[in-house]
Amino acid sequence: MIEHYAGNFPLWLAPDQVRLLPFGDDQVEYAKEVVSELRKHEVRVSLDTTSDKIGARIRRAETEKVHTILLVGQREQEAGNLAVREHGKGDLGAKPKAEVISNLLERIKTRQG
Amino acid sequence: MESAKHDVQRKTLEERNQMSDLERLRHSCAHVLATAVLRLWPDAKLDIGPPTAEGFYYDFDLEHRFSPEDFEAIEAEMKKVTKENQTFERSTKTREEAKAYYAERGQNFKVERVDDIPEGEEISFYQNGEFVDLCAGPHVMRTGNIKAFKLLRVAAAYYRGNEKNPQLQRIYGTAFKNKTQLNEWLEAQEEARKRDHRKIGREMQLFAFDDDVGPGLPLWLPKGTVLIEELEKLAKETEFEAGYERVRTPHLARENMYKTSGHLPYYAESMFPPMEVKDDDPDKPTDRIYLKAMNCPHHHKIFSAVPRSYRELPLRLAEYGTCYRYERSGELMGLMRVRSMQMNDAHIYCTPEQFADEFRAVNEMYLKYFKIFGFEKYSMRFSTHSPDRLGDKYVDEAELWKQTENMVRDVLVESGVDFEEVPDEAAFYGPKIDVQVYSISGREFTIATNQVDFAVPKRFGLEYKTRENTPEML
Repeated sequence: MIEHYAGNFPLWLAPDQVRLLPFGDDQVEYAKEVVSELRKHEVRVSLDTTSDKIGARIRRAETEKVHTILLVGQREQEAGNLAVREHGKGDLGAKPKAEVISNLLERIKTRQG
Repeated sequence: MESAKHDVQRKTLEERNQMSDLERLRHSCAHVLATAVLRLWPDAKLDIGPPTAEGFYYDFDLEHRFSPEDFEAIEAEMKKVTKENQTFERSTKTREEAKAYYAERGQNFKVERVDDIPEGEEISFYQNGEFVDLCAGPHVMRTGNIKAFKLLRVAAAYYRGNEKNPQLQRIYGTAFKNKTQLNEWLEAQEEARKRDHRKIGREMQLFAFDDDVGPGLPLWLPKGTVLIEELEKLAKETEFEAGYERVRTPHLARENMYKTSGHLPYYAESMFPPMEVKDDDPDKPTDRIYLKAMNCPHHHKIFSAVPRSYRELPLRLAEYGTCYRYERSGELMGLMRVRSMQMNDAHIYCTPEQFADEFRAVNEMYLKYFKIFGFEKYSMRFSTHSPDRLGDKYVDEAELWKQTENMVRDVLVESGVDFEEVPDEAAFYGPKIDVQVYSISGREFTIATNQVDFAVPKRFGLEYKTRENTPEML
C-alpha cells in the first residue's frame, strides 16, 4: 500500500491530513479555531506557527507529505476564508472556511481522493 | 552490500529444457561476463553463473575487489565479445577429463562442481571464443544474439551458500532482447526504488526495526499506526455491511489444537518453537504452548464454542489477528516478509449449497476495496492439488478435492474474472485463490487469499443441526 501510493496517501488515509499555516501572529487565533473545529471531527490536523518564512513552511509540509495545507493570511482572515493547497495539486485558491471544512469532512467520510 | 547465504539448486535436465528464450539469453550473457572478466583478470577463479528472475549473475574469486567502477571496463569488454559474434559450441568430456581439465587450470570450484552432475548425465562444456565453461546449457546460438545487457551490482556470496566456505564476489547483471526493453526495465527499477516502502517508511516515520526487538518485528510509529487503524476501520465498516461478525482470540494456543488442525506437523517449520509451561501441580504434564501463526483454528473453536444450527449459516467471523511466523533471517524483507503481522482474517462457515454465493460476495468485497485504492488491474491464481501427492502434501480425500475444486472452478468461470489455474500449489487442506493486484509501477502483489477448507472442519468435529435435527459436517 505504501509503495502503491509512494507515500502520497489519499486524504482519508494520510497520517497528516491537514496543516494550518498562519502567515503571521495575528492569524494564529483564527487558525487555532479551524484546528479545533477539525479535531472535533477527528481530522488529523496540525498547526505550524514557527517563525520560518511561509514558503519554507509550505515546503516542509510538502516533504512531510501533508495532504492538505490551509493558509491564512490577513486577507483570508478578514473574508473568513482559507487558502487551500493540496499535495500534488498545488494552489486551489481561497474558499469560505465552512465550505472548506465540510468539503474535507465529506471527502474523508466517503474515502474519495 | 548484501550477502547471499543460500545455495542454488542445480537445475534438472527437465528444468533446463523448459528454460525460456530470455533465460537462455541471460545465461549466455553470464558466460559473456565470465569471458570478459577472465580477459581483464586472468587469475580469476570461476564458480557458476545461472540466470535469475531479474537477469543473471556469475560468482568469481579473485584478489581484486570488484566495485561498480569496474563495470564500465567489464561492459566494454563484454561488448567486444558480443561484437566478435562467437558461436556457443557444445562438447562433452568424461568426469575424469573434466576434473583434470579444471585442476590443470587451478579452477578448484569448477573441479568440485563437476561432481554435482549426477551419474549418467552427460558432462558438457560450452565454448565461445577462447572461453570454455562447464555447463549443461542451453544457450543462444551466438554471442552476437545478446543485444542489450547491463551490469547491476556486486555482492558477496559464500561458495555454495555456506558461511564456512570462502566468500566469492558475485556480479549481477541483466540482459534483454533489445535496448528498448532493457531501458524500460531499468526505468521501472528506478521507479520501484523511489517507491520502496522501506525508504518511504523511514522518511515518513511510519515504522522502524530495532535490533533489541528483533529482526522481522516491525514497530509501528504513530504515523504508521494511523495507516493500520484507518485500514482496519475501512475493513470493519465493509465487513459489517457484508454481514461479518467480529471476534477476538488469544495469541497463544496449546500444541494439541495445532495437532488437530494439522498445522503440526505440516506447517511446523513456519511456526516459532513452543514454550514449555509447567503446571503448578507437579503431577500434571508440562504444557506446550505455541504462538499463533494463523487465526483459523481459534476461529473453529469459536464456531464449536456454542451449539450451531443451520439457521446461523453462513456464519462469517472476522478478526485482525496478530500472527507470528518463523521466517529465516535471510528471507526477511522490510514489511514484505516479517515475523509478526496483522492479518485481516475472516472465516465463513457455510453449506456446500451456500458456497457459490459466499464466494461471489467475497469477490465483490475485493472489488469494492480495489475501487477505493485505485487498483485497476487484478487477476486470480487458483491453486489446486496434485493427485499423486495426496496423503503427503495434501489431505488424503481424493473425491473431496475433486468436488471442491470443480465447485471453485465453476464459480470462477461463471464470475468472469481473469484467473489462471496452478496445479500442486494448494494448501494442505484445500484449494486456494490468491488475488494479485498490479501497482502503478507494474509490480504484482498478492493482496488477499481465499482458501476453501473442506478437511479441517471435520478434524475439529465442527457440525451444525440441520432442519431434520441431525448433525452435519461442514
